[in-house]
Amino acid sequence: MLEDEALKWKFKRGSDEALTQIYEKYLGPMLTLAMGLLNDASAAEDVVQDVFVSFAQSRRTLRARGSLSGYLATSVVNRVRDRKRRLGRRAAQVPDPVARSSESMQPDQRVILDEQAKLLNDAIAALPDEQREVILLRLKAEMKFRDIARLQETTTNTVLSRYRYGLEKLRSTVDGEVQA
Amino acid sequence: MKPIEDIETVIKKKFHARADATLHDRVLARVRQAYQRTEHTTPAPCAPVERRTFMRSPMGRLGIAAAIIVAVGTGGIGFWLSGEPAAYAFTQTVEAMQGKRSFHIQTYFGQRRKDEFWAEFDEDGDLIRFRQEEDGGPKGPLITIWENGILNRYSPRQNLHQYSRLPNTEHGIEGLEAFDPETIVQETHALVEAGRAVMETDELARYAKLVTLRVTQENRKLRQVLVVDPVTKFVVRVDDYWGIGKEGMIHKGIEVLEYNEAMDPKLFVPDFPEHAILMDQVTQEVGLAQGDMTVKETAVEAARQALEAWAQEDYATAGKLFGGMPPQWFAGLDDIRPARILSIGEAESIDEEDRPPYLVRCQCEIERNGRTRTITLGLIVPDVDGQPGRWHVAIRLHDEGPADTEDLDLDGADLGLVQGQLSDEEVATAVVRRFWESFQAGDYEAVEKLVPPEAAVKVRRHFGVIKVLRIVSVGPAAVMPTHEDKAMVVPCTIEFEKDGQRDSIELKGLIVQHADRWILHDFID
Repeated sequence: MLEDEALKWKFKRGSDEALTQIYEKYLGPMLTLAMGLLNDASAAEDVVQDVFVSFAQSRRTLRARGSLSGYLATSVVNRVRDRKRRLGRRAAQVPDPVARSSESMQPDQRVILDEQAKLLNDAIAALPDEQREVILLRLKAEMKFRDIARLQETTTNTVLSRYRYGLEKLRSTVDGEVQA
Repeated sequence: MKPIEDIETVIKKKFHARADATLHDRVLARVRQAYQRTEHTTPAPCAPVERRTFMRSPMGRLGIAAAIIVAVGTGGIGFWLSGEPAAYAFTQTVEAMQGKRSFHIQTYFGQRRKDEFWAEFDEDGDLIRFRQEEDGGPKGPLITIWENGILNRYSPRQNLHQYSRLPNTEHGIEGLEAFDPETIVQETHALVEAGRAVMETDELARYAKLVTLRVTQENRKLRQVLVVDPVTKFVVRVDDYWGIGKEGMIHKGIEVLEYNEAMDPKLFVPDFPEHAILMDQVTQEVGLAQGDMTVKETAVEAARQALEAWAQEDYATAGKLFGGMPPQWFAGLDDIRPARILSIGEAESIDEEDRPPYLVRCQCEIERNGRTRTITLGLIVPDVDGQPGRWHVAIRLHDEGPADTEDLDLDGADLGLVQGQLSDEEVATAVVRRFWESFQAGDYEAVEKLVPPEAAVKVRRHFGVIKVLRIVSVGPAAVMPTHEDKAMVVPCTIEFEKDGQRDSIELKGLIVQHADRWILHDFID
């Protein structure tokens, strides 16, 4: 965390090196988060690119406090939600004939998931949005439950319930398919 | 393959996505490009954001003077005068607001004063303590004081003092951010940056004392006016306007009375009457422990135990199940005390999502004026703040059937709209219009003030899932001749959004007169 604080401070002072270090450190986790939330490699790419570009532009306004991981993860979630809202409206007008999943990714894909990660991704995709968000934010972005509650505009207890129910569903879905 | 014992570990260790070299390099190039542009488009360099104070002590004034000199010296203040785009200048307000250590604000709904807040923050911006004086709402005025995870809330109308634990969230307690000028400024800035709102300002006079920024957020039909002090860069007033034209306009305002003033410690000491009914959730364990039950099973069980204890006049047990209520509280509810419990319903969701808190409807026999009657008590079962795994019961509604509507106790309830000089048609139309306008503005207190107390949950259940986009039409009102009370029917058409879909609906509001007030009883498709 101290490392992040130093990076943030340098980033706000205009350090290109700090920006690159932040990018290298968080590209993978944010891509994983976006993939888990969207189950669509191309959309996840777009979201992550938007998040990092917007982060770079926030140099003068970024808060001094709060974790970098939490900040970036929150940005990913907000963009994913925006995207789903937009697609939801469009889907109501023209139904999408092909449901997208990690199975549909092309061989020349730029987002790489190994076999086990693909299985997990499909299992996570089957969860309700709110449970999926809680599990990924907690396990992949290491956000505190109270911060997730704030993001989901609900109580910490509700978030804990979503986490527990989501894990139970995941456990029953992937049991036997993924090695511990 | 082995069964998974620890799914958390599996997700942590096995669920990774990574970018290939092409994606990695392409995104990094764009990110660097965006970062480099901040070098060219930002004003003269300023120190990394540190918490700053502008106290009105002599030292503070000296600090302000120094800040002005530095700002002028580097051109940092010049942006207000140079005709730069407002959104560009606004970043300095976003930064400056991070220096706030306290605020004292007054909120408005239309011309009416609503809430007054005092809040203090530490150097990291975390809330230390706050006081809120709420004027009005369905429960009347409320005074809320929070410090160090403890909430004290007093309702003069109910003479009820709630004493409970409420943890601090990231920068304060839940809900406070809606009134925090710093958060408002950040959200506005984010919208403008994302291209979802447009910010404009007028050409400024050289010695302008205040700067007015106008923000238009097209999709939400929201217009916001922010007034900024060009010296401190602090926002001193925020006005939000929803709707179109004077008729449909809803206005909410926040006026900052003071920033970074030393506050009287007495403000944060509960000074409620000694005879107030104390709902104590701090010094005792209250509610029912969930144990191995599901949340729904717990809700039903808590409702059953609470009603049984109440029926047996075991107020010590009932009080704990009702969230820490003392025996004197039950004395005020004697007219609905169950004499016999006929049935305990299942746990129902109160909105479209299957999540707590749940509502449990229970049929009971009561004895009143020598008569036995059957009533339905709706018990809501939320979790106890600060007591994980425990759930308490609260009375959300009681329904005695249509024959009892004349018994609706509105004495001092301040519900609905007063008829005044308005005709029946005019006041009935005004009730329906006010209902939808308040709903559109997210002012649920005002919404609940227009309906009978027991209907509040129904309103939230039916309408809480939609976002009102436009009030297409309201009225004309017509007399409803078959109703026993004096009643009017008011047609209305509403355009709304649900799950991202736009739609509209025509409804008829049933408005009933109680003494000099008119209340919205129901909507009919």
